[in-house]
Amino acid sequence: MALGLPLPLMSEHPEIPNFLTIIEESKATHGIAQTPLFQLLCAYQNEVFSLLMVVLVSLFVIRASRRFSVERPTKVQNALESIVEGFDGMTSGFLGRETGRFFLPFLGTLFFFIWFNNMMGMVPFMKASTSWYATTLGLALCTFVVVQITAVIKLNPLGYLHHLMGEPRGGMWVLAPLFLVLHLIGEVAKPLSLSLRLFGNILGEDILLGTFLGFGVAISAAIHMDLLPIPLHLPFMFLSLLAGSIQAVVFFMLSMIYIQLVLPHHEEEGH
Amino acid sequence: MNVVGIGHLVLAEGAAPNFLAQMITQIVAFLLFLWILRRYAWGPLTQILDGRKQAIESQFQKVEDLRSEAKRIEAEYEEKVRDIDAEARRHVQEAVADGQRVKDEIIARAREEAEELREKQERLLGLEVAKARIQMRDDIVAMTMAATEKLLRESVDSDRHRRLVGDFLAEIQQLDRGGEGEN
Repeated sequence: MALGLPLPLMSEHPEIPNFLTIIEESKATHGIAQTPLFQLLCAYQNEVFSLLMVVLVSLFVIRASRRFSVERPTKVQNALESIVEGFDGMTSGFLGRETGRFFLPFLGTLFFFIWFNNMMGMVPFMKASTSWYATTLGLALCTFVVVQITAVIKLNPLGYLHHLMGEPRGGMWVLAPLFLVLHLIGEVAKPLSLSLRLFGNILGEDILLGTFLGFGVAISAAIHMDLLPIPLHLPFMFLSLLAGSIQAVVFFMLSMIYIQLVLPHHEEEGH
Repeated sequence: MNVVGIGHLVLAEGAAPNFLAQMITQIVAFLLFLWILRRYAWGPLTQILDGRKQAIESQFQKVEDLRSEAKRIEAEYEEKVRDIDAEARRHVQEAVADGQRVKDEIIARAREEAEELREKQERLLGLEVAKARIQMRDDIVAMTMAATEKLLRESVDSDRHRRLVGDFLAEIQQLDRGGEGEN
């Protein structure tokens, strides 16, 4: 554990098997499982599934983009346009037309990266890489960096420092160091809360699904129905579908709010 | 937790991966995803949406322009209709005035002609009257002469005869003057 993070952030936990773990555990593929490449893939399986999702979705989007047309849009294009329009409406409505349009690709991609990764956990033989803290922390750091850069650009470094000190006036300068510390803690807490919330929810879903899948299989084995396991985890898949979507929306909305908090117009409104 | 079949719950074990490397890989994956989606989805689709929005706005503007143009043409048409009505009324009034003028001219000319005719008839009548008077005078003279001859034959002397003829002629001249004065 390179960062020495406490359990359960870096611990091993029960989960639904994916194709890598199945190959690793299967006796038939024992030879493949012993190769260094496979060992590496297993060690970085969250990244493998994350990249796999990126590749699959990217291929779909690139293929769809070749048929984009203003005059005769396809059904896929219509669907994508509706999605883009919806996100554009949200970001533009929240951040303003120009700023919203500028951050639309980042915020939209953030949402879909998280959502597709969450959904990967429900696809057989796949895995939700968002149930691994390195993924969620990486995404939260991306948001953190974007927010900080935006703050420095929009408020200028001194203005941002002034903002972090609580915008003191007159005698309030005495409290400025205290506010600075508090705000710095708040800024650090933002990516931590973002990442921990997503990680905890998705990990919880995975454990729930894995546990009930295990129960189902165990009960099936007990009544000699090995080949027809009882899908006890099925109800929780709907829950995972809902919670995975909600978590993606929450991450997206909070990232948008964090960006909005450092925009100048927000300051003028007396934040 | 060794369970048979696919329910074998796998523990994420194996070689301890480097957390930082994992995080960086996820960040790279995200940035790659961002770049691809920005290039092939967000960018083109927002452009298409903007283009379509502009096209719709342009169409609306065109419709608005056409509507105002139609209103302008309608107003122009109504103005022309009003002008045409006014022109027609003016023409009718002119025609009526022309008719009235022609009527007056005809009446005036008829009156003139009637007057001329009347004058001509009067002149002719005067001439006829004068002619009749001359004729009458000639007849009277002839009758006078005949009467005179008869008187002469009945032994009237020459002086008496002359006096009688002179008186008679004076009466005739007086009678002529009286007739001219009446005319």
